[in-house]
Amino acid sequence: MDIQNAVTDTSTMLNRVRSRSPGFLRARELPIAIVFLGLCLFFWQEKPDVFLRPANLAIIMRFVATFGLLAIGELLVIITGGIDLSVGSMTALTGVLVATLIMKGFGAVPPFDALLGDTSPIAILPAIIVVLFFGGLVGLWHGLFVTKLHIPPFIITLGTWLMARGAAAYITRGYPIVFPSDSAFLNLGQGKVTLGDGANALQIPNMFIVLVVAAVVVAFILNATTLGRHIYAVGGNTEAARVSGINVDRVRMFSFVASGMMGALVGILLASRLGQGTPTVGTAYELWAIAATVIGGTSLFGGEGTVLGVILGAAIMGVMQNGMVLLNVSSYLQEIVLGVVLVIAVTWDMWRRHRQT
Amino acid sequence: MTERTPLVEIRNAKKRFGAVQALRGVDLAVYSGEVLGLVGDNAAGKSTLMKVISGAYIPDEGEIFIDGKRAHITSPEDSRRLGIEMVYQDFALANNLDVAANVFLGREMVRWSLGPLKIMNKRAMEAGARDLIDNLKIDIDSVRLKVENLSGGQRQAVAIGRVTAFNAKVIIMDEPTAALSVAAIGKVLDLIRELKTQGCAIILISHRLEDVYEVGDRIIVLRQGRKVADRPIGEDIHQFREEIVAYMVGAKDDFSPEAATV
Ligand SMILES: Nc1ncnc2c1ncn2[C@@H]1O[C@H](COP(=O)(O)OP(=O)(O)OP(=O)(O)O)[C@@H](O)[C@H]1O
Ligand SMILES: [Mg+2]
Repeated sequence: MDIQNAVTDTSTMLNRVRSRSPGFLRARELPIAIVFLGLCLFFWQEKPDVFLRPANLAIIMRFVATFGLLAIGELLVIITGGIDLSVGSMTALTGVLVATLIMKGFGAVPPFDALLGDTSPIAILPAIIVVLFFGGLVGLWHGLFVTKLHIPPFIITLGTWLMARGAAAYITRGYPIVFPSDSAFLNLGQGKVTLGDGANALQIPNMFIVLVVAAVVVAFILNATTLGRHIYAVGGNTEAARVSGINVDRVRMFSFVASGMMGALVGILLASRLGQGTPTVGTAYELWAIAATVIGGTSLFGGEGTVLGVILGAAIMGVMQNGMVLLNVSSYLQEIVLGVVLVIAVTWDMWRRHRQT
Repeated sequence: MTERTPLVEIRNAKKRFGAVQALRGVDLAVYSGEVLGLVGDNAAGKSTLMKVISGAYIPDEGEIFIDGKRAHITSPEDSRRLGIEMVYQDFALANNLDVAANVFLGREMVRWSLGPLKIMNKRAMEAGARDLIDNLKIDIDSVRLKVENLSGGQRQAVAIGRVTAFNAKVIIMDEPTAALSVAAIGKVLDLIRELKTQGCAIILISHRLEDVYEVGDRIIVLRQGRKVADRPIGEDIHQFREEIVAYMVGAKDDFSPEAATV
């Protein structure tokens, strides 16, 4: 009896403290961050000479950047109650597109080939902008089907999942489009910023900087703007949002466009990183991105999730994957372990939710 | 009978959902400072009629007048602009957001705009929500609490409170006392009286006839999409209950089908 009272007292007290403290202290991300740090400590202690080496950290950061960026786009869609299965295939299609545009120009991209014939290559920046715009258009396509025709997000993005992969192979006829090794485009994904000097200088890949910028922008939108608030409201209670005068369709449209653009951004970065646009890149990346959002505390029912959470989710996956490679764990076993982590994350989240209500 | 202009009037409202004719030509008027009870059996069309006024549904036929002027309401925004607010029966709040966010949902205070991005003034909204909660004597510790952590009574109080925050002329409440404890019902009824003294017109939908009797001035009974009674509330509660039930089950009808515009 006394114990029970004490427990409820502390929990209401905790709730009060939380509800009054600034956002970062309320952080639901805290347990996720603790898991992340624990993993880092574990692998560092197992492989002290390798794990914290700048080159290894750069590998982890590229992994986190790739899946973190995709997961941020996925987060926006999932908060509103949707899902975007197209992003993995979209990285392949957009990677192939940016490579084709930079190497051969619009004339090499069907259906423009029939109209334009041979064209000259396009400069890097315009090519990147065109491809990002294309990613946004694909997102708009998803958004229109979901909001106007009431097609489930799962289905319409599954359609793109097939079409984009097929289009990537069709444009390239299955072969990668390889950049010359001196192409300035390669700096984007292969370049890095070095902090400090000597053997232990920290190397931050450009890709990771892109992730940080995208994360700050999206976190700002979600936390500080009316659009962000409406994104959460639509996911939490679509009808309440609608009768409160929120343009629900426009909010959902925005989330798909953002996710499409993130897919394109990652496609461009991967093409640069690999030095080629290849139609086989990014296979199942959408599932990894969704896994990162879920491990990061995002609810697949919509209404909940944060940018910090999904980046921590991607970081946990990145560190585990990297650590297991360092420990020579077989790649089959790696997938099993990551699958187990995903199941634990979802179960823990459900349990937490049940206890709360 | 007064010759005052109604604050809100709807004439000959009709609405069909597929095979279901939910409203068959209903007239309803509400005056300022009045609490109008709207009752009827399940599926009588009460919520549908109110959603037509609040812009959530567009009627097949019918005209709405605000202060005697014809109004065209095609969305919840339209009706809110005209001073009509509704507490919905089935989807009042976003449970994943906190109290302050719910109070200001859809009309957030904006500090400044960055192109299409509007940066919210969270502190002002929290202060505004705090004032509102205090003014209405709603018992909630913090406006930063998520709605999912509130009790049923607290949620309903927030749902009602948020529609009072914006100088509404007419407040529609769809079953505000359903699923509440006796104490919580008392608070909601107090809230309704408070709003009435502030000059609001209130339309109260309820299956609890004693609530309508307690705070209502007039009552309208719907039955199968038609209005069957429209009368002041006065007589003693037992007689009131007997009569209203007779209307609800179809034993009495002040507006016979031949006379009604069908
Ligand atoms: N969106 C809708 N789609 C289809 N049918 C609907 C819809 N809304 C209401 N109806 C139908 O219209 C009729 C009237 O429903 P309404 O919700 O107005 O009843 P009510 O009087 O509010 O009942 P209750 O007391 O159960 O809330 C019902 O038969 C209902 O099934
Ligand atoms: Mg109803």
